[in-house]
This record gives sequence, structure tokens and C-alpha cells, in this order.
Amino acid sequence: MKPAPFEYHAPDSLDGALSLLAHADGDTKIISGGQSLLPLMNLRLSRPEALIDIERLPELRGIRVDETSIRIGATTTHAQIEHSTELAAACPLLPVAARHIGHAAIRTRGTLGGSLAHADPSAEWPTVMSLLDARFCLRSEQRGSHWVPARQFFKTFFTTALEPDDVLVEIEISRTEPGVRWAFHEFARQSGAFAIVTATAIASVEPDSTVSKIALAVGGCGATPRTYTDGQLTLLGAPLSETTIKAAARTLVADTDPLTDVHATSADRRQIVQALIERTLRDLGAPASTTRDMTR
Amino acid sequence: MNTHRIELTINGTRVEREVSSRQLFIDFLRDDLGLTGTHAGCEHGVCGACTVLLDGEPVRSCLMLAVQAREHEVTTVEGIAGDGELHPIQKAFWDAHALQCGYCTPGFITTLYGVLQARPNATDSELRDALNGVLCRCTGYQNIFRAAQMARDAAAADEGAS
Repeated sequence: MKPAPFEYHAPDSLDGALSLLAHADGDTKIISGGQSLLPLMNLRLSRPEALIDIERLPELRGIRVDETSIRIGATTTHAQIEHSTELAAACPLLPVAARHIGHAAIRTRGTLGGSLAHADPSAEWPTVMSLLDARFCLRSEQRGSHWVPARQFFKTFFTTALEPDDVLVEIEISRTEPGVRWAFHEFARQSGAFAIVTATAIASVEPDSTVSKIALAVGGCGATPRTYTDGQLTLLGAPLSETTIKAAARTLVADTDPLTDVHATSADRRQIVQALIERTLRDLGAPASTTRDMTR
Repeated sequence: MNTHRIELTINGTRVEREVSSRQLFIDFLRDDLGLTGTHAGCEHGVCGACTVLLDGEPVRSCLMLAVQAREHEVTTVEGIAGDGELHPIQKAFWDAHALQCGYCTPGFITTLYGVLQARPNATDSELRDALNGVLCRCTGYQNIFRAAQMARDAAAADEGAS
């Protein structure tokens, strides 16, 4: 199938793009990689009257790492994140999560900002960015720039804090202290297929194995990713054990609200995510941070 | 704006054309340039039959607008064959009986070509990862994987020899 007719604009500056968007007559969408938008347009589930292409705007690209923060431009591709040696050193969870997104051909074009703006609750980036308590910079011609925490950005399925004239321009993550452990587990029917559920976590674990700080996020189990921290997880102040891990997983799953769709039933999602949460927490307790992918 | 003049390089040849906004890159390749080796399967990015290389990296040509391809270097399956001679990857598909209807085959060959250009010594695991991105309804994949291994071995031998 082919997309319905539309006008295509490729302004050469961010200000130009924001102006076009602010003064748009009809239904206008931002496009970069188009890996979520073009399938919708090809299937005619989406029929924007105009597209504003921000892919080549230099202001929106780039990965910058310093001592306190990681800043990633919104049009940075999944492939760029996957292959970034800087991120592999500063936040290895990011290249690992990137590698789970679709197939290489999707990752060549698809972008971090696009995935976040699309807000599929099963997608990897909304879940990982919620876990990491990232902040997103939104910009419009009228209101200028403002920052929204990831944990407040996702409202419901495919709905975010972006106003019609906003563009997501940058993602910022605070660096974690050295020695923070991380884990990532995703379940999909085939490697590269859409994730059904995802569990990912970070934790500070003391030399005596007690957990001093922990956050865990779950994707695909509700209208938005769900993040749980410290007190909500009843895991602080003690070493992770099979008993505490299983209890935490049970409690978390009771809080999830997964839907039944063509990929899996609600009950299946609960059962799978419970197992993923247990594996994620077990990984945190392991001497070296690890990740395993159920589909391999 | 509904039509755009674009310039790009396809299989080493500079090309300049007018395209409409809504024209997909795959349709530009097939209809405007007559490069029908690239196939449209699902038209929403899942099947991989439409895979081409954009500056050496795999992309779904069904998930690109023609206008987005401007100023890039594109390789299609037609650019992989030598002049009247099968490329070693194509020969491996022949020898391993890795195609039946052939519809997915350009997607696999283009993907593999890209992988082996970058990593002639790609491991079996890396080959499987790469092949993941294309669906085949005919063969059951085993012969495709064998062809990929044969192509890798040939590429690695070439790399070793040079």
C-alpha cells in the first residue's frame, strides 16, 4: 500500500521547522527516520497533510558525554547508539537496549526521538528512559524550550506531553556512579520482532551485597512504561535473595495492567513479565552486570 | 511542496530525477529507474525483501521516501553482480540451493553484501543476526544460512589473501 498524498518540507534549520509546524494549516507530522510513521502512512492508518523532515538538522544529532551527563540529540539513530563506544563506556544499558530494536535495517534509520514521540508502551526507549529518569527537551516557536522528565512524558498509548507545535530535540540522562549494576530483558516471539514485555533495572549494590538504591521499569504491561523505585520494591537494605526476588516480582506483577492483543493475552504478559523481572533482579545480584535475551 | 528534484548515486552512477513527495524509495527504484531486483513484500518494514544499502548500511526502501534518499550512495542487488558474472554471495546461494521462488533473495543478498563488506570475518552468530532481518516462506532458512557461511568463508579467504 502507498501513503495518501501529502506535502513534504525539509527546512534547513530547527527554527525553520518549528515555524512551519507552528503555522501549519492541516494535520502536520514531524518525520526523521520514519520507521514508525511510514508503516502507518503506507497502511493509511495515518494520513498527515504535510511532513516536516528534521532528519538532516545538525542541531538534533550527536551524542555528548561528560562527567555528569549524557546528552543525545533526538534524531540520533538506534544504530548510532548501538555502536557508540562512548555510550558503551558511560551507560552500557543504552547500546544493549538499542540492539534489541527491530533489525539492523530499522536501526539504520529509526531514531531515539522518534521512538519516544511515538510512545508505543512496548518499545524499548520509553521503558529505558523512564528507568533512567531521563529528561526530554521540547521546543516550540511560541514557548521556546522546556524540559519534561521521562516519567511524566508518556501519558497513554501513543500519547505524550508533546503539544502539536512541539518538537522533541534532546534527551539528557544523568551519569550513574561507577559500579551501578544494570540488567535488561525483553521477550519477543522472534529476535527482532516487536517486544511483548520488557523488564530493565539499575541498582547500587554495596560490597556486602545489600541493595542501597534500585529502580526497575516494565514495558508492554500497560498504557505507558511503569517505573518502580527504592521503597516500592521492598528490596533495599538487604542482599538480593531468591525469596526477596520472587516476592518483589509477584508484587510488581499484581500492579501491572497488561492488555490482551493479537500478540499475547493479559495473563501471558503477566506470566512472562514476572519471569523477566526475576531474571532482571537476579542479574543485579550477580557479580558482574549481565544481560540475556530470551529470544536467543 | 509536492515534487522535488533529487540527486543521488545508485550503484556507482549519478542519477537526477524529479519525484513526488509521496513516492516511496522502493517505487522510485523499481518504477523510475527500472531496478526491479528490489522487491516489495509487506510495505511496512517487516519482511526485508525491499532491503537496499544506503551508504553501505541496510535500510528498508519501503520505509523511505524517495526524496529522503537524496545525496546518498545506494547499492541495490543489481550493483552487487559483476559484469555478467555472479558475485561470490550469489554463487553461494546457487551452490547451497538457498532460493526457491527468489522473492526474498535480493533482500538476503543485499543484507549479506553489506555485512561482509564491513566484516568479512563475520561470525556465524553475526551472520544469523543479519539474516534475521529478512523473511523467507520457501526454504526454511537452513540453506540460506549455509550460503551465508560459504560467502563469508570466501570473503574471509579473500581478505586473508590480500
